[in-house]
Amino acid sequence: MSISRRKFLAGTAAAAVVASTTSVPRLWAAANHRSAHFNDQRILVVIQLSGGNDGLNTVMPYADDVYHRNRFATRIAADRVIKIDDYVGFHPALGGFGEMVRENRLAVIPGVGYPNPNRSHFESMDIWHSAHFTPPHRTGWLGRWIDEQAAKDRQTNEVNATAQALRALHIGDEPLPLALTGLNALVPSLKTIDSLRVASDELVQAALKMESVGAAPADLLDFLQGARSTALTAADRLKSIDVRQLQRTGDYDQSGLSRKLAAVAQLIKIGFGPRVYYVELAGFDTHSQQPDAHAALLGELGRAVRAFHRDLDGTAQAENVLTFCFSEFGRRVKENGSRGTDHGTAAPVMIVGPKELPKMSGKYPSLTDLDDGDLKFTVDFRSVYSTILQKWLGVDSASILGDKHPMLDFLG
Amino acid sequence: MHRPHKFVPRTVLRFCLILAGIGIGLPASVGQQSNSPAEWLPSNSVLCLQVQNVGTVWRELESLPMVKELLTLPDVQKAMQSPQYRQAMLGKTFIEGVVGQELRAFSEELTQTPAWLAVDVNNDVGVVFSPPAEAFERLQKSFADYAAIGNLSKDSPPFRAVTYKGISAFTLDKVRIAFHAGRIVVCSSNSIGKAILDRALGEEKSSLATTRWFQNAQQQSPRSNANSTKISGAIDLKTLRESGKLKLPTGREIGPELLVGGVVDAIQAADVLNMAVDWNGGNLETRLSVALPKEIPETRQYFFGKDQIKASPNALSLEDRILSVRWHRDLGNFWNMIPQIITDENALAEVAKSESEIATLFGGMISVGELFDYLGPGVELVACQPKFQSESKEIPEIQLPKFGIVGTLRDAEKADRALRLAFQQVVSLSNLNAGAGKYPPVEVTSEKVGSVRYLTASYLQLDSMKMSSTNRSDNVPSSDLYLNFSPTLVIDGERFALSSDRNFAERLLNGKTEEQKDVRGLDNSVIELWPQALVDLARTNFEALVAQRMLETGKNREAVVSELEIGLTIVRCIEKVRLSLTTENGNLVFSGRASLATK
Amino acid sequence: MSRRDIEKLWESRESESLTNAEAAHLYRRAAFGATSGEIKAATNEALGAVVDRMLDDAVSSEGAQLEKNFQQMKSVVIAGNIYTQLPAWWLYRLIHTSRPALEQMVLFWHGHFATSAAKVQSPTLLLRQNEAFRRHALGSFTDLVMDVSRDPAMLLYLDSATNRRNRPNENYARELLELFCLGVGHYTEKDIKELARAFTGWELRGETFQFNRFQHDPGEKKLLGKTGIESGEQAIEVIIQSPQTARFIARKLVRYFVSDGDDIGDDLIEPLAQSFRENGFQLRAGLRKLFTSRLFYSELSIGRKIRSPVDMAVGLLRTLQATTNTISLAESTRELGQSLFFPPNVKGWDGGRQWINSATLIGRINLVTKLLGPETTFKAGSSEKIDSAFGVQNATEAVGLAESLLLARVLNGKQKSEVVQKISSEKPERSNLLAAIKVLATMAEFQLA
Repeated sequence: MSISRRKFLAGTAAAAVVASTTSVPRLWAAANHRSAHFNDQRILVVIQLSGGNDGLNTVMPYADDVYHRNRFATRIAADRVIKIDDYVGFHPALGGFGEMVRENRLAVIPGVGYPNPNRSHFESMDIWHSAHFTPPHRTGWLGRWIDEQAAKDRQTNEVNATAQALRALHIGDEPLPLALTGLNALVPSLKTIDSLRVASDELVQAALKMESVGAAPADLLDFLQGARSTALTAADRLKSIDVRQLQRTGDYDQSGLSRKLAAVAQLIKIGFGPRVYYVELAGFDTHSQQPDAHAALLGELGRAVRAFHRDLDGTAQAENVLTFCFSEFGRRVKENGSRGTDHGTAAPVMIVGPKELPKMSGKYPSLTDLDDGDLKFTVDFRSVYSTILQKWLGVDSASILGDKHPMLDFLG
Repeated sequence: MHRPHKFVPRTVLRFCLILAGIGIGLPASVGQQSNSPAEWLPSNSVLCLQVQNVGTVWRELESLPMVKELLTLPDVQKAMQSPQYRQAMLGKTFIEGVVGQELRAFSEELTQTPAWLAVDVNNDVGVVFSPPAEAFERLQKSFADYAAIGNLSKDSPPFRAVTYKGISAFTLDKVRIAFHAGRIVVCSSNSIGKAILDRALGEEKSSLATTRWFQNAQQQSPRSNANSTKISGAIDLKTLRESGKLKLPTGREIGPELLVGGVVDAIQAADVLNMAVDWNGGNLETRLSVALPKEIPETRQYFFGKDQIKASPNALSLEDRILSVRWHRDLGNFWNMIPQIITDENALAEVAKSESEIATLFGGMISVGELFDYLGPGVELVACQPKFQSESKEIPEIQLPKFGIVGTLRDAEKADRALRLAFQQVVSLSNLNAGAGKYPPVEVTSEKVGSVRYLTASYLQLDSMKMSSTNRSDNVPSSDLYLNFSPTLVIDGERFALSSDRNFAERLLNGKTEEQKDVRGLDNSVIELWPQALVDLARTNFEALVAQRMLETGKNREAVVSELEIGLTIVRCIEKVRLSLTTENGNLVFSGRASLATK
Repeated sequence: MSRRDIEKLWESRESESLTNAEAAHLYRRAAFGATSGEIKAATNEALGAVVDRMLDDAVSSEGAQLEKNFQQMKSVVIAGNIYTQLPAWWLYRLIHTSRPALEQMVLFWHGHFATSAAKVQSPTLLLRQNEAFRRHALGSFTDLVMDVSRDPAMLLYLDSATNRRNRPNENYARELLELFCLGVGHYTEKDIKELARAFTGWELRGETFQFNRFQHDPGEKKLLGKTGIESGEQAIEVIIQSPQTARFIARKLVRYFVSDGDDIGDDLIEPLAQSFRENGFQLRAGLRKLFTSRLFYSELSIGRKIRSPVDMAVGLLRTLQATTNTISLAESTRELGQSLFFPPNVKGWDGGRQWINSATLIGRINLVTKLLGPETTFKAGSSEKIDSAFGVQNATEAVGLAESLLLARVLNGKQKSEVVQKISSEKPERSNLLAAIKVLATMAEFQLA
């Protein structure tokens, strides 16, 4: 038997001991990661706001008369705004975000966009996902990150004894987002996390406890044994968790986004493995009768994200989770005639994290210096990506984005 | 008598004993008490049912030609050879052994005099049978014999003879069976058993018969046709409500609210709910009724009408109908009332979202509320057989039924403009999507015939989209679902119709309304379904149905076809189903009626 | 590897007969598994005859009734315009087909010339492409590439429908060189530009291919060092005649059928490539060479592949002569990373170790458990009858049979007795065979093909 086989067996045993005796996710997670060097445990949660979120009514320049003049029917009166500073503030439905900003855990990056903005939902979404401007958009920025991680793993010596890592997970009914598509990446897209539980069949459950190891091409079987033990240990931890129950007892409400984030929180707590989680919230295409609909969506977003981070607070993973909310574009500055707004350009991105985040990172775009009625972007979204990639995920962003982009200050 | 078989499973056994117990109550002649079984049942009952003459239903069903046909189907025959069926038959034989009679005759005899069933606040059930003296004695003896054996099978709990205050009784697990004064009492727990027997002995005077709600129910219940009524009964709504056992979902979703919002109101206010199941020569009817609230609350005026109760429109007389849904709902009023009606926060958020989406669809030119305001409250939705043979050269692979909505307009002139605008807007949006080449684009033609205006969206078939399959070696045809449709809006003064195609719109507008037969009250909402027409539709699309089932089951064609044949044959047994919500004599009556096919 | 070793591995075993284990291996890799009857029959014949029958069956026609069923279901999928039902349709076909070796190759080409319904969305066009793969799957690679280059679904997927004379779209040209024929490093950026020019005017009109001579650039193109090329057809000929194309396709076939690891060197693949060059790129002959070679039954091949989700599910069902709800099966394979008609990108499924991670491994165990449950119909009838239908009398025999049919590697004695003990000690299942499979499916070995 090769050395790697023995080492592997020892690793499995260690994982099993940890799993069965304590609930120390960090320790356990460490056992499943070969090296515990810098930010190997950092997790990114992406929340995609589909349909084009009205940035001007999410983070509104309440102190600017121009805003109120352009938004006669859809504006939020200054006294209702949750103030971030003396110029901008959150929509009143975003009480959750307001709280987190006060705790210095949420940063708003206003005016995020890109040159020659595309106003088609699909095309603009593809641009955000791929970080490439011309079709075909074949891979996504996170998909390329996964490919790169996998390639790195392949180069290291012990790869044969390590499970194929589950690097990202998409939860929702939608098809797998382009952002998570790589040339080699295989990212599962699950409707619910119930798919991650082993069937409750008695015989299957009993069979999982078998320990004998057979003979097969050593490297391939080592690989599979490793993957199996990683998966089963994780599934074992998942067994005791009923997400619906948690949702009822925790801060979460009954909304769809809360359900998904409650599931993500559980997976993170048990160290299920993915470094990237991706969820979507749709319905932001508010061309008319915007006020009620938009308030409902932002309410769902604010409550769910707050509940999610509250849920993680106090756990070992709290320090390791960064949430990133974006939309494919914002809306035009001037509202339309039906209490709604039309497709526009730049919009704010929200970052929620564990550490001291600046309230605002970047400059709010001018409401008067417009490009054909649309905001001029002040931050290129690729700068946001590159900051996340370098400062949070700890990789060189240039190889993933194909270019260097200026870093932002929100992660210090 | 037979000894019980060792292999009869415990559940079957217990079921048999209960049935046997039930079975014992036949028309009593000797020793029958003059008081009503209601005086035996406990006063904390919240539901009571009287069951009688159920045996006749069985006999009449068996004599129906459709049922006979069904039994001759090869696959049904095959199913009757299956182990499950044989096991069921074994259970039947066992019961027959216990009761000493063929099961059907037994059940027939059993309910000649009504059996009384009550459920008390603790969800315990008690049944009182009044059997003929002969059966009473036969069963008492048979039970005593079985009790002597004790454990009836390996894993069954003991069957024991006991006495309670001198009354002969038997226990099996929690079930209690007692023989007293020519009546047999079967109940689900010791406590309800004692409650019943204490009353039977006259030790306890208060009973179901003395409760206020039961007396009210007796007064309210329309003692219609004693012969055809197989089950009648009532529920004590007030007690259920006060004990928190009756929680009506309300204020959550729009769909259910529109369908039964008014019913919820009535049930919230009423003290009792009466029910009856009638069987009469091939017609099965279930009726549930509650008293209408004295005053219709503002939130539900959209449902019943403002000052007085309003009826749904009469049905259009059309050929080949599959489904007709008619109701009275003032949608404009409803939309205004939504904040009062829908109270759940998530549901309200959903409403806001969808309102915004619809408004987006209409480009903000018309709002949902505005559109609803123009619609008169009486609307019929009707679906008929697709008949392409007579109307069109090209017949689509899947033939969807023709369907449409007919109604009236308020403020006809303005409504006309708004409806046309909405129609055009929807069409232009769909053309934007058509651009991707997934389906053909649509053109709208407007046509005025006398006072009638037709707005028809017809598909433009592009040459490039359709290839003759002859020059294709792979034999993959193009999609042709759209051949089904030429969505049409037609407006004639105050009347309007929106339908799946131009011809049908015309039929809808020119259709005569049906005379209302068999009027018992005002129909607020009616759903009528013609299952035989549904079967015809399934036959028209049989291939599609087969393919869908093949994918769902993975089975081969033969297996799927034979399953579908059985299903369709069963559905064909029903000629018509009618569900209605009617106001009659100050009551709100939900009635469901199924007429079996005689041919 | 020495020349002698390579020659030895490519020696034909056509006149020998296979052992049980080797026959099971052949059927698992090439034809979605086999019943014990098929395996037994195969061991009584010379390998050459077995492979010939497998491949002859593949090119003969599907039974008339089966073909009719597939066509009818196809027209319903099309008539309803429901492209999301495409995966279920194909899974149904894979479960029921009488030509499993052909379907395995159709699946191979679907992964090779990957085209996704997520973008194309037209069931008509995707099914036409699927039929084209079926027509050419075992024929000539040249014909296949010609057809694919004009295939409407492909034209839409790689945007070559907009390949204009003055603005050539390089997308298809790039993939033809990089992913379909040569591989990275065997062409230049200039080749891509020239090839894109050759394809100008290859357009889509409605749902069909048309050559628009007004949009075609008639000038001379230089490609892979060859001059005098004018048309797209000529360009394709030049590409296919490149020795690298035979090597590239041979490599991909070996990866698909023999081993998905990286331990098979170019020199070992060369004889297969050479045979393609010599026989006019006839795929059937190449596959015959592969399936009759020593290599295919050597340590380099046995247990050297990780099952794809579709292989796993369809193979299990076919082996047990069972069928199931294909709509829900399609959903399950999607979650496991393989949704037919929806490859993740133009590269197709990577396969191998990429199939495996925590989520998919749990999903695989759950899928097998589900496939042995109530949604599945067994030809043997109810699950109580399965053991007798497969001639299994006790737990030990059940484990033995399940192992020989489904596992690429035999279990050691300790493992086997542990499995037998699990089956016997737990609450009795209705079938020992199904119980055995349930237990085996939880083991790492089960993932090896």
